[in-house]
Amino acid sequence: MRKYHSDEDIQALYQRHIDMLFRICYSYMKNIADSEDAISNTFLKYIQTDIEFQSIEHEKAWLITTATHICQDMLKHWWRRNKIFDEQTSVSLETFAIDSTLDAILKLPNRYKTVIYLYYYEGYNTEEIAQILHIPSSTVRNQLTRARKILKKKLGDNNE
Amino acid sequence: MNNQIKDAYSKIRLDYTSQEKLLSHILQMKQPQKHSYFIPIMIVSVCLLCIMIYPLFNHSPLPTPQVADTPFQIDEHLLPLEAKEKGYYVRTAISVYNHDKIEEFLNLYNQGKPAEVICALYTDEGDPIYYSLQYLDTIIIQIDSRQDRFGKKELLRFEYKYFGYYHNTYYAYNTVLDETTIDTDQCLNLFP
Repeated sequence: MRKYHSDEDIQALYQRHIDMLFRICYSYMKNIADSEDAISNTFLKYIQTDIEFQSIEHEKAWLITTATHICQDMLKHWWRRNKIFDEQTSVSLETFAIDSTLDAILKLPNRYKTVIYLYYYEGYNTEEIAQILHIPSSTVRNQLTRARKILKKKLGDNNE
Repeated sequence: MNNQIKDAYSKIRLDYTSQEKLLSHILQMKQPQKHSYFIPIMIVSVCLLCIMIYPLFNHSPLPTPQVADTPFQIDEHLLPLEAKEKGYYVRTAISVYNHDKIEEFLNLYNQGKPAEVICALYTDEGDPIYYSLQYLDTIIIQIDSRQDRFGKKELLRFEYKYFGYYHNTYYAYNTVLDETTIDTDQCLNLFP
């Protein structure tokens, strides 16, 4: 029998992870509206599945993986691919300042973004990241090295 | 660089109002999920209800006859009273049973509605010859005379356009019912 998640379940999950999900989604989508869409889709996926999390860590890992895949799918969408962004005329609705570091993070290739976030912000080690994202730890290490190189180049060697 | 990246990520934050709006949007998305079985259940219920009440509105006294793929045949030598019990129109040399069945058939035929009746006509020797009369756009007459010990034992099928009464006898015919068509066997004499 399929289990439906109650409003309370969803609310609790949302309160626990909204900040994390928003950071991941924003790093991919680079604007609030699309990040909110990605978060909504992540929760829609949760609503449509009958998954029962064994722990908070399991719950977190599922949300990170799902949100990452949803953002990547959204970015692959034909409409976004064909959309021409006019950064000069677009109105920034962000309520937070985007400094040079954040700008450099946002401009990283998409394949490095989740790894960077999990390593630097969440403090996971490469083995844990490999487990969460279901990829080999050697891939995680390689991605971290390449991402670091890009960031160093952009932010300057004295930030090391 | 570690702290710098962590600080940069800390800045990415959705304000409280937006968080609340997003949560209510997510909870709204859940609503159709709750009621996703509502429409299929309603459709099934309405279908079941229609099936249940259909007989109440179906005033047709007989089920709509279908032209049988297999020839009409009755394999038993029924006595007149047995045939009567089965609801057949029965005509023997001395008596007639279930005359209302043939009247019902004729009424429906006159109204242009599909009709069906089975007749058992008994020979002088007391053998039944079974007739099936069906009206469905045309008149289909099927005869089973295999129980007639002194006549031809055969299964016959005829198709005519009309059904009529002429000189105290019922006939099935295609064009007109008169002396000529009767004499030239262009119609089928059914029963007096």
